[in-house]
Amino acid sequence: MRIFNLSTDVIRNSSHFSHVQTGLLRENSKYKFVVKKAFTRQGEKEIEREMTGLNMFCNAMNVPSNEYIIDYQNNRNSAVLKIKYINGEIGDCHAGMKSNFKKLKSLVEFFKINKLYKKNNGSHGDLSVSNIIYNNTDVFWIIDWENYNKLLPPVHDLVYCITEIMLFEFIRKSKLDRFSIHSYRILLEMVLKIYSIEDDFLKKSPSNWLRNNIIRLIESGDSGMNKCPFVKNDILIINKLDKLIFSK
Amino acid sequence: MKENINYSDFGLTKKNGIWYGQKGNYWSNLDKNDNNSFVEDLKENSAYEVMKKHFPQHEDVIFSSKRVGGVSTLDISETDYILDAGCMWGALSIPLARTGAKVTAFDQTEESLLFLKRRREDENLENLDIVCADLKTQDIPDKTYTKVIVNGVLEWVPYNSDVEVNLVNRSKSKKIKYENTPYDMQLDFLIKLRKTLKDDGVLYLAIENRYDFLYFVGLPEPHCNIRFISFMPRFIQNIMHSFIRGGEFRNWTYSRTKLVKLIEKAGFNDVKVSYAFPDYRMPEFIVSDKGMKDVYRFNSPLGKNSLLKKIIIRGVELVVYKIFKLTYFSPAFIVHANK
Repeated sequence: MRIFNLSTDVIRNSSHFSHVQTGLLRENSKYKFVVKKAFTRQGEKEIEREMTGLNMFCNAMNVPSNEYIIDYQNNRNSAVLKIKYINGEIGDCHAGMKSNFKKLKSLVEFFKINKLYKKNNGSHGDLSVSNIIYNNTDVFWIIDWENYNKLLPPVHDLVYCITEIMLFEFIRKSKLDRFSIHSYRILLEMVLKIYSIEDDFLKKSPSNWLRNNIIRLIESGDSGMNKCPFVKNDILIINKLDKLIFSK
Repeated sequence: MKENINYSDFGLTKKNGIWYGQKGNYWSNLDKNDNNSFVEDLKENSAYEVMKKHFPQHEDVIFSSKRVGGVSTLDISETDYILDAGCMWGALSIPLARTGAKVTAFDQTEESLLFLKRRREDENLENLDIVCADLKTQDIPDKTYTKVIVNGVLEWVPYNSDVEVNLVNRSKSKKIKYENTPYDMQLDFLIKLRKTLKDDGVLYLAIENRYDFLYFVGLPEPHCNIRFISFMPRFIQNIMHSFIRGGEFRNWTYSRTKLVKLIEKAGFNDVKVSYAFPDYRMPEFIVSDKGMKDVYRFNSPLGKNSLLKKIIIRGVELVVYKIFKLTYFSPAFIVHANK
């Protein structure tokens, strides 16, 4: 099978911290497939994790995984994964809370309806709005499962997604407006309610809570999260963000 | 089990795990003294440890997973026989061998290959053959490989002398008289590589674009480190090079059209060109003509330019690539061609 030749129109090469090359394949002028390739042990692991995460997600969505996963080859040193291309709008994690509020609300509902919050489902690991495909403001699909794991607490994904928006907004503007803070609190409350969480540290210091989770994940050997914004940015920024969110 | 290629039929002899043939000139990013210094350490240390100790500045060039961005455009399987022409430290040979394909890493600089041999041992890649010989003069088997990789090598083919890259692009060297033009030497090289491909074989070639837009805003030509030389007519290139570095300019790169013509003249068919951004060594994106509209930013290197110049570069990049999709000015080409 020809998987990754120059009929591939765009190849994104190991962006961020990934060891995986991702290509978009077109057929009859429309993108039909996403192909991921790895030539390293780390990359092969990422693709394996993506396979596991996708299988879980397809099950949760009641989609037969063979409709979505077209081909998977793995020889421990290298791997290839070919999946269906899902057309739609991808979220922008730098666009701020105002632009993202409805989308985040829809994400929380999506987790609730599809029971993605269940403990044995594991965690996406890098659930950013830029890894979510929307139909207007409704969540349609979740992509990029290469950080899928069962080490993070189940509530991590949603807290990460909503807090990352705040972190980027804070870094960009050096402040947070009332609307953003108020919206964030509503979202966090919704998330905690779904998971029935009574964790004071998470409630009062979500950014620090996320940072600790990710550090633990890195210490367990997942070097892929080294550049996660909650770890990459200075602890002072993370502390200040928590303080700002709950001070007004 | 894949069939081994018997290089002894072509006059090569095997010594300590490396095939040796027609000796070529020295070519390395390291100068000769530096290259000699690490060889002893390879006996006791892994290749990675040796790199960290002796030339950590080249870690990304050798070990980064981004290096395979270009060759990932190829459809590679365990049944492939791949020739990596000018493999150096094995930045591509090692990842290619990890796929299970039979890989022949070919280079003329022994020290680079001793380092690669250590990498082969470190990763236990028995499907990687290492050959130390000059591809321009060494006999190689016909119709043997399914893929030939020429990654950043074609532009160096016109040299018949030792190349210590750090010296070549910084100081003036002595003038050497060549009988053949760079074009003729590159053409002969490609013809030879075509012969070694099986009938359904594929050439993979990566090279800088002579008309990369950054050259017009002052980026030095990377091989000789001279500004504004790349897009000049050949005779002006020779004058500039002769004045600044000594001797004629021989690192010929091409426009897309001229490159395709050169490859076709060597006998290849169905030449397909893609564009690598910001370069072909560690590309962020590789796109086809159709794919240009789907890339949002092209990340041209900004270097140590002033803020104003950086803004200009980003602006021009937006206009050239994003709005007008002028691939003619892209940084580098990645070419596939059928035999």
